[in-house]
Amino acid sequence: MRNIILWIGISLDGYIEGPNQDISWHKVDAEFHQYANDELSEMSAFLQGRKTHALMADFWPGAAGKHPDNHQLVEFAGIWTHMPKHVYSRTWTDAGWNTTVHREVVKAEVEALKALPGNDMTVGGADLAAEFMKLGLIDEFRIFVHPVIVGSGKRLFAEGAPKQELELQETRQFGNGVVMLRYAKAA
Amino acid sequence: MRKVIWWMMVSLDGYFEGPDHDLSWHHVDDELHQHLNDAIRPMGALLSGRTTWQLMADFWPNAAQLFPDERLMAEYSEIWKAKPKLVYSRTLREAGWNTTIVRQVDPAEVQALKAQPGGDLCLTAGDLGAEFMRLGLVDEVRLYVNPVVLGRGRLLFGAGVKRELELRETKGFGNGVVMMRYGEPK
Repeated sequence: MRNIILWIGISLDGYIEGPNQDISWHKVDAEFHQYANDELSEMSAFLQGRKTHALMADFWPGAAGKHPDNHQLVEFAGIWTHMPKHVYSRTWTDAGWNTTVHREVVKAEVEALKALPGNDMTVGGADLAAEFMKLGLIDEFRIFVHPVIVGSGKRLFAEGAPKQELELQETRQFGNGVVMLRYAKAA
Repeated sequence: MRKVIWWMMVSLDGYFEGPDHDLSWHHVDDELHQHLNDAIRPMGALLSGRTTWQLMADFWPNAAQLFPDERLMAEYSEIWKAKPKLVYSRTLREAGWNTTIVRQVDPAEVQALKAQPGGDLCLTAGDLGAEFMRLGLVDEVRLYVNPVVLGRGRLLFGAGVKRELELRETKGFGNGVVMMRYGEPK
């Protein structure tokens, strides 16, 4: 059974995005980027919402050519383009870059995907994360807490989320002040 | 200059209280209790709003009698009773237990308090903490993140506070609580 890992950055006050979808406060340096590359390259698939996928598809395929001296960026461009991806969109028919398009999140379909052999999968993006959480499809949370209070925007845990106990698995402190909190669903 | 430390237990989704002032989700075992006793013992004073102060004043003075086998509770009971305390309240007439009543947050008064010699000032408060934060009176934020999503309650960081912080320390406890300590960027 492959686990679904919610992989997401938040502010200390719990926002994924500041006002106007601002994510300029996400701190990514070489150390953090390398950690992300090492972990994400081990995944068997990325599950993404339409907006996130569009942003990624605009950036990563050309990134290595534009930033040839940035080792982590070049490396992740290769990881992203080759990784099997699933995107959820009501309108797209083809998304390119090794991507399967799904119309909507169907719990049974996701569970069938989890039952396939292989390594874990990540899910990212604010709206898709909320939908997966609502359906109880997240097995592991990797939350990267950035050292900033942004005051408003879109929260990771919406009001009314079901009460849930979690099990702390790991914490990790990065040099740039980001803290990773890794939790599993309580057994 | 001593520091004002905003010192709070929060859920992973950022609530300091569940519905109906619920705090039953606080994970405190012996390891964390001992850590808290040791960390609060050197503080110069405890600052809080009326609700928190009242909860504490109703509980800690008698905790040692009520739970005679709980060494850590007896220990904290002594710390709490002896520690100088400030309670912010417009209505409280009398407070006992070495507590000074303060009617409202006056930044100049807080600065004067910080300039006095002694240990740091531990601020345990929801809305009052946010007010200190907005007024720029908080030098350090120390959160104990509990491994639980509550879904509703009162959020620690209300609207209107925006701040870059600098991570100073993290510490994971065996019961799944993570302490994260932040200061002002240098």
